[in-house]
Amino acid sequence: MGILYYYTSKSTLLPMAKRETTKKGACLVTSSVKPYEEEDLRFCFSVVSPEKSLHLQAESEMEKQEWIAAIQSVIACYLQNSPLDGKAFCDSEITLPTHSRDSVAPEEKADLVASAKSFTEYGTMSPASSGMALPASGDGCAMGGTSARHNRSATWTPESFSRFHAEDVRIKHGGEPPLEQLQHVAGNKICADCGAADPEWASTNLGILICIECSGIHRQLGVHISKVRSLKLDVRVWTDSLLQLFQQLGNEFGNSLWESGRHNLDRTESWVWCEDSDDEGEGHNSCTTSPFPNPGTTGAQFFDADEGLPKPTSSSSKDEKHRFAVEKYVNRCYLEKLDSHTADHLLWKGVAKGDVRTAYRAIIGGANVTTPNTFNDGVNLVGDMEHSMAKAMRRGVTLPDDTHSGASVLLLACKVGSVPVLELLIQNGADLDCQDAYNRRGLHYCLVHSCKDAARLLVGKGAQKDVADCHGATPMWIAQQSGDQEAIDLLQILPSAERA
Amino acid sequence: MGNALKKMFDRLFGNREMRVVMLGLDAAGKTTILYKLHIGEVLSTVPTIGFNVEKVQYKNVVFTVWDVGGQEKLRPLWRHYFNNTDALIFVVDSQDRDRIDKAATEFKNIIDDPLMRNSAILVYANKQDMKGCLTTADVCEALGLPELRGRRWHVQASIAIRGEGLYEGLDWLSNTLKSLKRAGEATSVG
Repeated sequence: MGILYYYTSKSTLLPMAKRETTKKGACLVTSSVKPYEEEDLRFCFSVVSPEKSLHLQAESEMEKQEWIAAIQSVIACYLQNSPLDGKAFCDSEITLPTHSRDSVAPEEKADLVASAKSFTEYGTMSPASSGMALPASGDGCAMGGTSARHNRSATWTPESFSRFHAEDVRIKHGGEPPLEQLQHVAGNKICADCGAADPEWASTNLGILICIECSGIHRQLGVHISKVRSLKLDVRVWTDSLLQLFQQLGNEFGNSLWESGRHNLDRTESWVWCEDSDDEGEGHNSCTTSPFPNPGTTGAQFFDADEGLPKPTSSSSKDEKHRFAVEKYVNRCYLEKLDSHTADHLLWKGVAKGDVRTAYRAIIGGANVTTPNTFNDGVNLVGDMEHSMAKAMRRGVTLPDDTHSGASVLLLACKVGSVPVLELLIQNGADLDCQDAYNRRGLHYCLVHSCKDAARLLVGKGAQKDVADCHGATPMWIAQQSGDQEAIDLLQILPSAERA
Repeated sequence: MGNALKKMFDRLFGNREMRVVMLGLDAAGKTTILYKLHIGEVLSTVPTIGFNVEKVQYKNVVFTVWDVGGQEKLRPLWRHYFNNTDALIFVVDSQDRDRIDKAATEFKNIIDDPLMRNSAILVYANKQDMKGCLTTADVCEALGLPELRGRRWHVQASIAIRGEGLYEGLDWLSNTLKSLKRAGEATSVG
């Protein structure tokens, strides 16, 4: 798959008969194409691979650019659609390339030709030799197709070359890939930061899709701000749970928060965050203008948003995009701030209801996902758990003095069993192995409350399985007590390869 | 002719060429390191789809550095760059604690490859300016370097965007490769 065949020729007419010469080609998946700048030679580009470099010449600057773009897109296409085991890369015969003929290069005229199984080579084209090829001149060139599918002669232009390859790759692909699943989420058709079409990259903790250029910028911000993955080049990270999380977030929702303070700047119809400033937050859950409980205006304030930057477009410079991303995600200029107490409460509430969006709002507002809660919200998470466990173990209940505190929000999510919420917490730094006052962990909570999907998620992420609470009960013991074979089985799953 | 002459001069003045492959998980900072060394500037990079290759001259060594993309689907391709490679530069994002184990697994796969058995190993513990990052000792430990037998390795703290630590790493690399070659030991396979 993906071999660029070429040959050189000193004659202008290609004898089609003699086809049994040795094959010389450049494997595209391990190749890179870039302009080749030499003083005397115009319109040259090179195809570099670990084995060799080819220097090729086009007829014009424009054609050179087209060839570079075409070959680049074909390389990207093959890389993105390659199997994970790395087989079938350079070994396979399915191939297809390029052609051309009639040359302008002074001495050694060469043609870049493509053919699937066989092709002809006249003369040699060694790395760094002066062999030049001229793609796409239009008439009389040999071309082969992918194995038997296209056994015709044709002339290849940069355009048809890339189209053919794209098609070739599409045919081989099965199943609905992550990108297609997430494109339908509101706002995901364009990059969350610059509006470029069809973003193929994502920030796994922010739940948004971004273009490749903005992904470069996000990577610069550091993993504590944004964890960037490719929807096409990364595979194992796209677990069901992460996809579920992304389904519930998306660019439109993300920006409604991250850029909520921008309506003053952009002078567009505003999205109203807090309608009623007298309210303390109760009774707003069903309010249509706000998807969240009112966080309370006492703790809410915008950063000084009057001096914000204009939102970049896809054609903005990288510098502008970078400055904007720093304002948006690092300085949080356009985000309504919450004080930490309000944010922690909101997170606890959101998680208790299995409400991903509220939990997300709280987290980006500064809620702490790692430290145990220190407030009494009427839910006695740890105490209830102790009651359940004591009953299961047929022993007396031992409650510590302050049963309300000491549980982190991850344990609450495990009790509730919401997979997307759990994924959100983990993506944002929650500790998989956090414990309550009885040394109980997420898996204990999941299994006591029969949340098997949540348990499966924890195991997949590599949470420790063989851990006992202070009374000696392990997750496996709980599973066995419940007699649920599925629960027992899931404790045997191996963690997935990537802890994302 | 020009080439032959150049080679002769190179031999005379002890210039050497070394082939180096630079690998690591995505977003570790490989491309930033490459271009900081190559043109002395920090380009704002985008994820590398495929690879970049540039020559980096340092003292009298010309390093040809292959910087290969680190996303999952690109990792199986790494081995295609192992032939005739004198050294591995492995780059780690020291801030990404969640994925240090993954980095270690990939690292082990590389250095266990028969084609890489003689190569020197330079690890850049990159992004040392980020808060909460792993120290060089942590990175060393996580990658299992102290247990490596019969290999030349070095962990170098670095901040690629400021260029800190990069040349110190190359210093070690050129000295190590020179001493290996002087001793007649092979540094590459293939």
